Amino acid sequence: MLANPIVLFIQVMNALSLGMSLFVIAAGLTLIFGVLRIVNFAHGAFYMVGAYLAYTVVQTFGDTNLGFFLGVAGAGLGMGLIAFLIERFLLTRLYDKDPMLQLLLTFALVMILRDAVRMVWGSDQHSISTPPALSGAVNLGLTYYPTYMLFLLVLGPIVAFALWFGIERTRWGRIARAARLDREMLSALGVDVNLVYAAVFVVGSMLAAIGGALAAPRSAVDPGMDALVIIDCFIIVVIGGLGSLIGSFVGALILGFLTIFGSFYLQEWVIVASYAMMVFILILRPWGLFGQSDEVRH
Amino acid sequence: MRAVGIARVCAAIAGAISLAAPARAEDTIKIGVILPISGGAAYVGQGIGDGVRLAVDQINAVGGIKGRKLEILLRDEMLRPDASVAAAKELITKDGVKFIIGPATSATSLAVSELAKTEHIVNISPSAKTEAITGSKLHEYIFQLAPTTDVDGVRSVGVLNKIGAKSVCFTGFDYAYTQDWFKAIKANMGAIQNAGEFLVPLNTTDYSTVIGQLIASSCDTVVGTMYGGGFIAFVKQAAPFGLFKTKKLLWGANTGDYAVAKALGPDFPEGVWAAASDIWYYEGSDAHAKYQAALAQLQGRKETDMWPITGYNAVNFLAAAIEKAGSDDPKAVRDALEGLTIDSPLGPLTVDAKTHRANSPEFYGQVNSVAGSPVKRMSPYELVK
Repeated sequence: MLANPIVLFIQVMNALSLGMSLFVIAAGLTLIFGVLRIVNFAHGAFYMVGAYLAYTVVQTFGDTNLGFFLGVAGAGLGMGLIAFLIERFLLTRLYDKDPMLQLLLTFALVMILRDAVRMVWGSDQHSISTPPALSGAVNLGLTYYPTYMLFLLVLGPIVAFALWFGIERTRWGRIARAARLDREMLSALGVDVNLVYAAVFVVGSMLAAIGGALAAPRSAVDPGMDALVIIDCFIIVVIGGLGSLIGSFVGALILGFLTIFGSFYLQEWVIVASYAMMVFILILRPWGLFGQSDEVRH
Repeated sequence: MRAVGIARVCAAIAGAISLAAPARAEDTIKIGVILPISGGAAYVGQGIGDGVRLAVDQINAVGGIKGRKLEILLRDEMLRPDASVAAAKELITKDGVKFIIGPATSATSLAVSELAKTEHIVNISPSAKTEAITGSKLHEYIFQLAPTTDVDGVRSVGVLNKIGAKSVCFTGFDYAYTQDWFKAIKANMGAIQNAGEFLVPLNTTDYSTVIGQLIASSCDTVVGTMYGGGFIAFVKQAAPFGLFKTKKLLWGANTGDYAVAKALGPDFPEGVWAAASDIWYYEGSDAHAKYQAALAQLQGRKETDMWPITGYNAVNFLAAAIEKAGSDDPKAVRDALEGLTIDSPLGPLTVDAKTHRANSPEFYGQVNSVAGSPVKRMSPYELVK
């Protein structure tokens, strides 16, 4: 069937689109780890909260273009505020403590947020429609392709570029990179490191929530959505290298292609394939494709 | 230091759990209920649980069974066989439960049934459909109320013939229910052609590949089993490719229910053939009207969902059997259940003495927009027994 160029083209586009939508979420996870050295188990829960916040905004403003983009913005801002409070009141107490406590805390946040979501929104299934401007399909010459998936495909590289630019080319980025290398020295130089940490955690969490809002028109908004996405995110950042932005980008593309073409050739065995690939890459490069060991980094 | 810290956390959690265990009245009949309470299928657990509560409230309101009230002990199955078995073990050993209703799905129900067999606990499976539960895995203590996949298969082929399907392709989550239902359809579909089977892992989030395969297939009808959030995601991803314009759809896994139709709203594909174990707009009998009114009050909305009737019937079977047996001894109750008939909201329902199956009736119909209804629903529909 893949011998048909149109089918092959659609599947390649599907793989790119899936990879890019996963990248937006995984980028937040890797950003937080890169600077704060925290593996945030609650990242999937942040994604879920984002989708629910977007749902509420869309319910309020209606299934319009404005409603949808307000929903995406609302998801980012709302989750950003929650993340700020989590960082200021909880995480900040644990930075120089046992990493085990940080894991316990983020794991506890998963359970708290899951129950909070059920208390606020109930256990019903919800759904957000594709915004009118992005529904339907566009003619790409070879064939028609869903507009919304094209939108996700284009958005991924834009987010990647914005993050790269922010980290590599701005003063704030330089400070964040310095905070990763030597927190105490940076503090001694008069930089408010606490603020840097808070800002990075908020931005990373906002990416999860925006990813959740953007995923909503292609999936259900339901209480189980966090568990599914967090596994994909971890696979991406592990194969790409924890803390590496370019690694997440490449990892997301690899997972996108593996999911789409794997489910074609392997059907229900595709889940095994993604884990097998993760093991394979870790044997070859224990720090992931673009990761560095702690020794190298210092 | 680390080990001490972890031990302290564990101790604190253990303390909190033991404090949370509520004090219980002495002489109640305890019913263990194992359902999905968290995760994507929580709405199913909520629904079945509502039915259980309604039946228990009604029975307790008239004094219980021979003066003994019923007490519900609800546990989360988390859609995982291991979690379900752990919950069942705890209910049996710690709470002394002799009757278990649930779990809700085929895989988890099979797992708990194995435990019921060795522990001699009466286990009523309210909603799981795989025929293995009372087929190859049948034992003395398991009873299955939902129509089994082989019965569903025959009913579904009836729909396929009615809509003039010539060639069918199959898609769905890869699990026991899908495999058994498809097997039953294929065994009964006669001259209708099988154009291929395209399965995805349970709880997939991306359906692009399978949608591409379905569109490329020559079939005129798609038979599918994705449910809940999976169906919602599948529909929203398939619609822009025009899948619903070119092919007819027959969907299993109770897609004729309120929950998914409400969530999808206008995005629900027009004209899907589906089934549901109950519908709030059925006006065929007084018994159903009475049941539906009570349920609507409990759920706080007029449009009740289809799951409660499964839990409601399960409790009423159990209560009737305990009453008939004159004791809560699991062996006596099991014997009483065989061949027992109750008046369900959809008419008399009997557990077959040999097969342990009730094969409850279901509504079949085509989901369409209906004037005056806020959500799409089956119209026309028929009650298939």
